[in-house]
Amino acid sequence: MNSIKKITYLSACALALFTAQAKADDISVTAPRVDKGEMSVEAKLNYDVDNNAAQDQYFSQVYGLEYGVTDYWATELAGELEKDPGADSSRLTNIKWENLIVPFKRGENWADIGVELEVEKAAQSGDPNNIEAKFLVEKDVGNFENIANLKINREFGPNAATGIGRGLALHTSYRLDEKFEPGLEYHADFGQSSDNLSFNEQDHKFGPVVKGKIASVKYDTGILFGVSDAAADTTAKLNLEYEF
Amino acid sequence: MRKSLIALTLVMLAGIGNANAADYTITSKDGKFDPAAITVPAGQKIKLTVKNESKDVVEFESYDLDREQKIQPGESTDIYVGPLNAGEYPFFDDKNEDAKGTITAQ
Repeated sequence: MNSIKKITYLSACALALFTAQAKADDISVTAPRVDKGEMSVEAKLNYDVDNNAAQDQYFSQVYGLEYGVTDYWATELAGELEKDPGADSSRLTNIKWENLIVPFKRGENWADIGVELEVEKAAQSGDPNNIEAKFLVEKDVGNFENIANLKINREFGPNAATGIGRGLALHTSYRLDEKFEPGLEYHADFGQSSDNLSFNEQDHKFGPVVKGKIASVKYDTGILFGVSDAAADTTAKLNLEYEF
Repeated sequence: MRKSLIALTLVMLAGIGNANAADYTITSKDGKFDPAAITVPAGQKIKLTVKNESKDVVEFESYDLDREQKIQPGESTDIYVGPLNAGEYPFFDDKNEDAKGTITAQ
């Protein structure tokens, strides 16, 4: 391993450790893996159920096209549709450009690392834009796959929040069968750094998930339960990916 | 807390030092993997260099090895696996069901 790669690896590890409280405003977990030449279409669907009408029936749909440009870089263009509680229909809220950078081959080091950089352009006037960095760490132990995502984001443009958003997502699953891998996930949105929110003012979710691959379609679904007051009582998620 | 972070960093540093792995090469040509059977030491990380000398994309895949990697025509890629427990680990080309092989760890 050359010195540049060592520095990159150590910097990413250190950054991941020292930003251990970060923001999560979606409920997907990204593994630090890139497959050169692979093109895939993705759909990420989240639906909230809550006793509070202000949070009930929120629905987010993200549709994207991803391509592995090199062994170390994949890029994706995606659009997000959201239906707010009480709204009649979904509307396009933003367009995202995501770049996943993985400096090493999977399994090359003690843990696999990567970073996902995202720029989000609001589709509605008056909504803020967003820039986000997600630090990815994966460590597989036997048949258990363990992934951590630490996220920071900063809004800019009209009505942008002050401070830096922080989030965390943890995933562990058991490689039981290619078509069925059960696991658990935890997602936290700590809010803006300037807000100093209490635990119950932050968004914390935890629950069972299942993922697998059937033919060329990868799925990742689960039910997450709110464990803080601000989180929706129940969030259902379904992520689908079709590989070409 | 600070001691834990230092300890974890040291473990990661140690991991970088352990990146060395025994090398093996598999070539995909004429719709087959060559060699189709490889024996490797159990309990040791290995590096598979998969060369694609065919005219089509090869997708090296193995659920048992937990690896899936496309290789473009004329290119090669390194795939790190293990340390493996003793046993057999089948692999195949997801684009060509006739191309398959087995890694035996012992």
